[in-house]
Amino acid sequence: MSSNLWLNLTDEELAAQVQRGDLTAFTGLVERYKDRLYNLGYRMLRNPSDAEEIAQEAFLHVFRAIQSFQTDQRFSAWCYRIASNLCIDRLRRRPDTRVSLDEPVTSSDLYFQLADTNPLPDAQVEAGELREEIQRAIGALPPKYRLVVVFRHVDDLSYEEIAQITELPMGTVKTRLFRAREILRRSLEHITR
Amino acid sequence: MRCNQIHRLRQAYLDDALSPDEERQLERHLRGCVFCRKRLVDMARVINRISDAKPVAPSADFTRRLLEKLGRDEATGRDNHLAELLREITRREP
Repeated sequence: MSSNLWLNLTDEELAAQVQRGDLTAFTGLVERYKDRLYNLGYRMLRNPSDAEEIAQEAFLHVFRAIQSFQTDQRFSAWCYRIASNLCIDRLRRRPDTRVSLDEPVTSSDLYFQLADTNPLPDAQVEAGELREEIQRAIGALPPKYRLVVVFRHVDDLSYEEIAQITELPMGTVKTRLFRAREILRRSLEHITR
Repeated sequence: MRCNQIHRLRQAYLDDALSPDEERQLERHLRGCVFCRKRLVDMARVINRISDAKPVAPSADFTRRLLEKLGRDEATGRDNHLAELLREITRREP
């Protein structure tokens, strides 16, 4: 199948083609999703080579599990779910994950994590440094909070879409998002002043 | 309504997720509360900064390397298809 034909097919139709053994349709899905999965990996893991690796791993999982994909579901949610689970697993195994994923996190814990990030005085905060500082603050969030912030504000997904991907009740998605933003607001207070 | 009760409305407002009724409640509160107005503005700034994050791109040979890995994984059965596919993709990429 030439790549031009992919343009007319939905993700789910492409996935159905892959299920029927059309391997070129798989490259269509890869082309559509590689940037999104790479960006997710990058925002979650904060490192280009880890992001590349996790995105590759996610596509390998997608390929191997494609027969279990139900084509009446949304491919994007399924694919994001695989990638985000891999990111969370990777963070869980990282020795520098200081906060248990299952423990409730108090803002004072995060305050300590952020306290050594050496915030710069306002006048010296250049655009690049500011960006880095925001990424650092996001990176200091517990992974499950970080994930909802990235989905909501980097991928611009709705509560409902995030709930579908994470398989969490919408109320939980909102609670995590609201808490995460409150933590970010506090840790970035010096840049919003 | 007190500030701590308005917290969820303030947050949901930032996602454009309030009903008209809730929006009116929030606006009524904000008119008389400097504290909540400032919280809302600060939070909106943080969100804007996050959304401004520049997209990053994977390496140019991402797809080719992925298909190579797949080819190695599927050493039996479908490897002829994969080898063929791989040749096609490699030809397409600069």
